Amino acid sequence: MEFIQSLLNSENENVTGLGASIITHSCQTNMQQKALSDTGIIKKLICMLGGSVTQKEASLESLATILKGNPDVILKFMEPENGGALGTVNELTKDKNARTRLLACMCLIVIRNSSPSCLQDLRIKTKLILILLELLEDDQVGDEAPFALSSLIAEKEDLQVLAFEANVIDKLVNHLRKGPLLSRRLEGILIALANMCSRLERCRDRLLSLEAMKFVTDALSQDSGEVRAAACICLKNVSRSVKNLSAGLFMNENFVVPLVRLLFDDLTFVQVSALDAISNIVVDFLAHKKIFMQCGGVKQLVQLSKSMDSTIRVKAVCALRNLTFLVNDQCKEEILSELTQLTLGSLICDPETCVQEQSLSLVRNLVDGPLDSIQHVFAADALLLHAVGQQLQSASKAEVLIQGMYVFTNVASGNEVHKEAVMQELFPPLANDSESVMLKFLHSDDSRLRTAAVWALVNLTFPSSSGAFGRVMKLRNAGVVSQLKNMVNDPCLDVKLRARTALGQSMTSDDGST
Amino acid sequence: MPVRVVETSSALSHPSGGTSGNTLPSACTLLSVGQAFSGTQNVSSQQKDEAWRVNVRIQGCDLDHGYLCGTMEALNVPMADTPVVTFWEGEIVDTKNYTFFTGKWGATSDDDIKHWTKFPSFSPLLSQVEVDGGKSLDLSNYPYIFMRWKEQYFVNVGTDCGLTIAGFYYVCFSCSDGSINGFYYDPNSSPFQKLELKSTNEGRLGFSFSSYELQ
Repeated sequence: MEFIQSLLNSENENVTGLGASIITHSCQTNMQQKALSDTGIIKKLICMLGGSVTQKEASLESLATILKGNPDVILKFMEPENGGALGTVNELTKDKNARTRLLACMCLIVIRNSSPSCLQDLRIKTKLILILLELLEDDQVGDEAPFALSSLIAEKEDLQVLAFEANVIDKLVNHLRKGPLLSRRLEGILIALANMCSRLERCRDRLLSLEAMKFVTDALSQDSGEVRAAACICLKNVSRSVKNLSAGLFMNENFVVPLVRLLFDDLTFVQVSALDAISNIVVDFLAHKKIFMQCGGVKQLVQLSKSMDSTIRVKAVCALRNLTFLVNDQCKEEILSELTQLTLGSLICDPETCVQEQSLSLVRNLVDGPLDSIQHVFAADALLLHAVGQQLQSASKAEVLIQGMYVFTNVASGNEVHKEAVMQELFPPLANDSESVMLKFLHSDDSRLRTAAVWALVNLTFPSSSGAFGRVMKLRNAGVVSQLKNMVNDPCLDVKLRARTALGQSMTSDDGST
Repeated sequence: MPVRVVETSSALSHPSGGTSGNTLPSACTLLSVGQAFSGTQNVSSQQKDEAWRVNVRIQGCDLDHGYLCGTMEALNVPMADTPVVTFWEGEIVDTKNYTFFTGKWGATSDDDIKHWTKFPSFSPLLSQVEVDGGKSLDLSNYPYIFMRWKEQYFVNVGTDCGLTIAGFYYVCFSCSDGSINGFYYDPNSSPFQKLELKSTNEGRLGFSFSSYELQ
């Protein structure tokens, strides 16, 4: 620390620049940021903002490093004794040197992202967007400007609105039209467009209306892995639009063929990005899922679901789950013949709970739809049904239990055989006197799990099913009916209404039997 | 989607009043993605009685933004060779994102009140809605969900199919049994065309739920 201080105190600007640069490259933790701030280094760096171009730039980079993600240090930086340091940085966004302007913007973005209350002025935010757009044109810093823009707007709907109003999408697309661009610039623009389209439908609409998706699909086949991944991320965010998914906009060979190819990519981060985009695109509501399957997508997703990398595994299963959503029976057969009951059973019991959750959701979709679909969990000696039952007995994560209960709810909406099979899983005949999982779920603090459990009971006690009376007797003996009585005023409206339905049906079954 | 009568101009775009401080409606599983409904839309006019069979499927739901969307399929439309499918987007009256006052699509607050009062479950809310559009109501535990559904485009036919999607539906959904009642509003169509839908279980002895997760 003393060494850095001595460097910063030097009369030689190369030496002070070196000191600032050491901070930029070595300060990594909040503790280090605080230690630097406590020794008064911030004041020295602020002084350097008035120095030569080299000093200004070294200081801006160094300040951004010290302030990043640390609201306490930012507060110190903003103290009046620092002589309106924020104003000085703000002034540097108008500097004649493009790199200085960019670094000043990045410093302000760090402050905004780490401590939003410090930079609330709408004009500053708009100004930052406009400066960064202008810097996009610059040969020296044009590659970095879109990344700075991304860090300004990422996950912030209010800033995305401002950027949209500043025509950011049109201007970014204009750059794409000027092409061909070098990889770094292309990657930055695609990431900025992805961030613009992460939340707002109007941004997605604008990008689509500019017919810019052809640039994105072209980028899916670029040599640079970073560009390929950026194109996938852009496509993922644009395809978050249910309106456009419903119009079948993405389920065509222009998107599907290059995306499926990327599932074989050598780079893991490209595969991960492609899986995310595919997960959205296969939701498709127009029954065109066959296109994806004909391109060999299912085969590769199944391969990736067996990956040693758990991130790849969970995303591959999620894509298969979305593909199975409202899909016709023929496609379900094809998915299952590729995946096999055995693999799906293993995925339900995967060591990673996220994989378990997605696998159970996949089974839930598999047994939805026409009644015959339920048979899928009874194949191979009811391997899948037993795997779900085992998970419900042993898992502890609510999300896993919820998906498992919905599998049973869907199966219990079938015929007598299906309903009885669910009863066997929930109330095994050889179980000891310990509390049933159904009772545990009805007592859960998580209203989503209580809802799923009560839906299963609604289906098990469904009045027009012939075995309802016998099941009600079993449920009564297991203490479930009396628990339902306690739930008719559940604080969750959904639970309350279903509990009343299940209880009403239980009473009807009783009456019908006498 | 009634028969086209007169071409109308595009929808106005000023938003309905949003407020803060109220809690959102709790999630209702019967109104979740994948759920299907079927029933009829009465499109009778002074000249003739007519009703179309209608199927609805929920495709997207974002309670935080008071957003719902899906498709509506009209089955026995006289002037169409095939069932006509439209994509609609819904505003959930949650008093945070949207109030009972539409503030667009050519509907005045009088039109709003006239339509909402057609739903018996709306009557306990009427006096407050007349004051502020319902901004101060807490509907988080109310067993009915009020919505506006606006058809956005024809999915499987062209705009020259003889039907119009210029208007929108005032909708009331019952969380208890999943039934849906609605009234179509379009100054150029027969008034108060009634939509009546029930949750369908597609041949099952019970209810089934599918799901997807966007990344």
